Amino acid sequence: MKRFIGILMLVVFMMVAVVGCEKQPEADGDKAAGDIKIHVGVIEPVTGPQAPLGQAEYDGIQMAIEMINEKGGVMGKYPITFDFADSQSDPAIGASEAERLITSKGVPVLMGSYSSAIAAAISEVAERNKVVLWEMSGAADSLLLKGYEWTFRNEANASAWGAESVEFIMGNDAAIQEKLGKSAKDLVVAIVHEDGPYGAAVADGNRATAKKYNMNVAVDEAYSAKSVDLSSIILKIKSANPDVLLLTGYVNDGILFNRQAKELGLTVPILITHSGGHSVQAFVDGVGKDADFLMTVDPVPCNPNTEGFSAEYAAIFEEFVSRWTDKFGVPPYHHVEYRQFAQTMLFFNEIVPAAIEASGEFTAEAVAEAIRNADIPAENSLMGHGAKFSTPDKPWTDPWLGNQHTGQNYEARAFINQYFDGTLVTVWPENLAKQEAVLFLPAEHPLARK
Amino acid sequence: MLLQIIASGLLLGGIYALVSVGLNLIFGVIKIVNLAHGDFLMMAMYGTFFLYTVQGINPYVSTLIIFPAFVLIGVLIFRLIIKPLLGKAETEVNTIIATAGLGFVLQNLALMLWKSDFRAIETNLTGKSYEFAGIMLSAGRTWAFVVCVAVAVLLYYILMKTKVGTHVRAVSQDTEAATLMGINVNKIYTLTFAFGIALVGLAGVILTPTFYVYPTVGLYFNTMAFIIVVLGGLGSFTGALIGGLIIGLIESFAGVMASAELAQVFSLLIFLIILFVRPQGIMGKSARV
Repeated sequence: MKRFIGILMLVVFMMVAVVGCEKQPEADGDKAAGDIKIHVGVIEPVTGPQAPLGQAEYDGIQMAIEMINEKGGVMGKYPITFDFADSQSDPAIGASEAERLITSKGVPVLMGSYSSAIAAAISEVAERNKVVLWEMSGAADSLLLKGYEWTFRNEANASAWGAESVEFIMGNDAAIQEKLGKSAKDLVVAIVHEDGPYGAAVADGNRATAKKYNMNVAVDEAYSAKSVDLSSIILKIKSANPDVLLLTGYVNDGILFNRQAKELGLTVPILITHSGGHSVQAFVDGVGKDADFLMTVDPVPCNPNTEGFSAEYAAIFEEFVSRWTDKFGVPPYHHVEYRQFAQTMLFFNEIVPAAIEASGEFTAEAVAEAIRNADIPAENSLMGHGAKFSTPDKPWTDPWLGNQHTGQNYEARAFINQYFDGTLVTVWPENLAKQEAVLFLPAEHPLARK
Repeated sequence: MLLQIIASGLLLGGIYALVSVGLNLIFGVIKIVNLAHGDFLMMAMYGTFFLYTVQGINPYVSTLIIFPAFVLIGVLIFRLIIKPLLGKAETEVNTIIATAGLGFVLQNLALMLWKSDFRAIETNLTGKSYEFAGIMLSAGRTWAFVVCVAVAVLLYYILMKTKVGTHVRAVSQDTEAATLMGINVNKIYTLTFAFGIALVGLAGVILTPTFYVYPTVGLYFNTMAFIIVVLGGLGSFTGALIGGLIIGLIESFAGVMASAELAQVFSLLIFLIILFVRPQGIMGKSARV
């Protein structure tokens, strides 16, 4: 009996081995046709202090992947799968989670990651492991000044946002001349920003560009975003009596600034804020009607004129808006969720197909090569600008500060959006503008100069 | 301009003082350091926020709900957490650890219940100000200042002129002697702790219309309250008032004269100098009530 069982097991073993062997060549033959697995790692902070916006970013990424997968996946045949990790708003945790996704899940690409500090920590891990980091929201210039080969940023860097607001003012010379009786370059400018890497980078762009035009920068002040009182800074602005206030901060200090500015009777003809805290729903919830007519400089055109997109992308945009509105009850017109959606779409619709066409595989090397060779026209990106990336061999020198950036999309630009009835709408540049910009705060705004 | 800086500084100082008074009262009488102080402030701010957004109750009216509620919470916390630790070995260390733990629990409870969103309310005083001889006084902060002064006067009256106040001072000066004189120390402790917590609750209510709330908002005020209390003199309630006003004025002046970034550096520098010259704080020991 024992011998019988022994023989039976041997037979079964051989059968399994034969079947196994037979299967092998079949799998090899399949590879060219459909065995490419598109699997990526997504890292966002969905707990901790950055959770509200981190969750919105994650929702935007998921919606893009969901919409692509419904059509069969990348190129209509490779469905996307991903592993998610929560950085818990902590750069150190972000780095260790990135390490885990790379070593135990084997992802060739990481996407994320909300803040510049977390992005910097993850980019080091990506660089060490030769894995692509497709960074979709860490905007500080410093992220790409280290000569890294594997970190790529599609959106405009923070100093470019700061440069854009000053260029926008210079572009409105005639209107300024008429209203204030002096030319744009003679305006008195106040630059006020939170003192973290993001606020400092935006202010660098403000300052350098204002200097280029010989503008009079009367106030140049930094404050801590955790501050409980901004009255001293507001008094300082008030006594300088500027024509333009360029403001960069986060949500909480943005709300506090608005309240204390009203209390202390600060008025200013032109007020431009820079993304971060001013272009999210929480800010509108905090200040209510006062949000209206505020201009924000963002790396995406919020609620743009879709004629600037190709027909295919205009349709994707419309579908995104209706899906998001159905799911969350509010339109995705603030920069956070839209920015992630747009860049996730760009990655899987433009970059990954190029990588697969060129090399027949989805590996870090193939994706990085596709990004380096990318030349995507503006109408094929919901970000509103084209895409061409700098590399360590061919770094891009920004015209404001003269720094050399590697992995930066040097076709990227920032956009001016403005609040109308609590909704951000693109007002600049003209091809994506849905409404004309209201340059001077109108009389009904509490900070308007009468 | 100078008057405006002084006015803004005093109004800011009033808020700091109001936040610190309860901490110092508890330290002065029970001799424990309540590290969860700022987190009670946070809970009161959330309470005010939800009373306003859900029930539509004006923050200044919600004082009538928050204050008694915090007296109750204070009694409960004292009975459950503080009292078992008193009179045993290492009381100071144990109460610090216990209150720090309580602080973490409150922060994470808030994070779990209400997420980390910043929440702010708009009342009829938000963003409004009173103009007085060219000086703009923030409406919300002016009322906070008025409340602060009222609390100070009331507290002074209670401590100096009433029987309970005499008992509190006696316990504060010498617990054993007070016990021998027939004072129910346990009752005084409970009362002081509850009142201290209710005062920080009051500060939270007053702060909500001009500020915003999130789960870790207490951390900032905690640090500030400790600096003010040490500056003014541990255990001295007039010290907390003076300390608060001094820090407010320094921050206001340094912010305008130098830069807002340096304002805290200046206030901490002056804090260090005062500690060096008068280690017991401005109103420390000799003036303790």
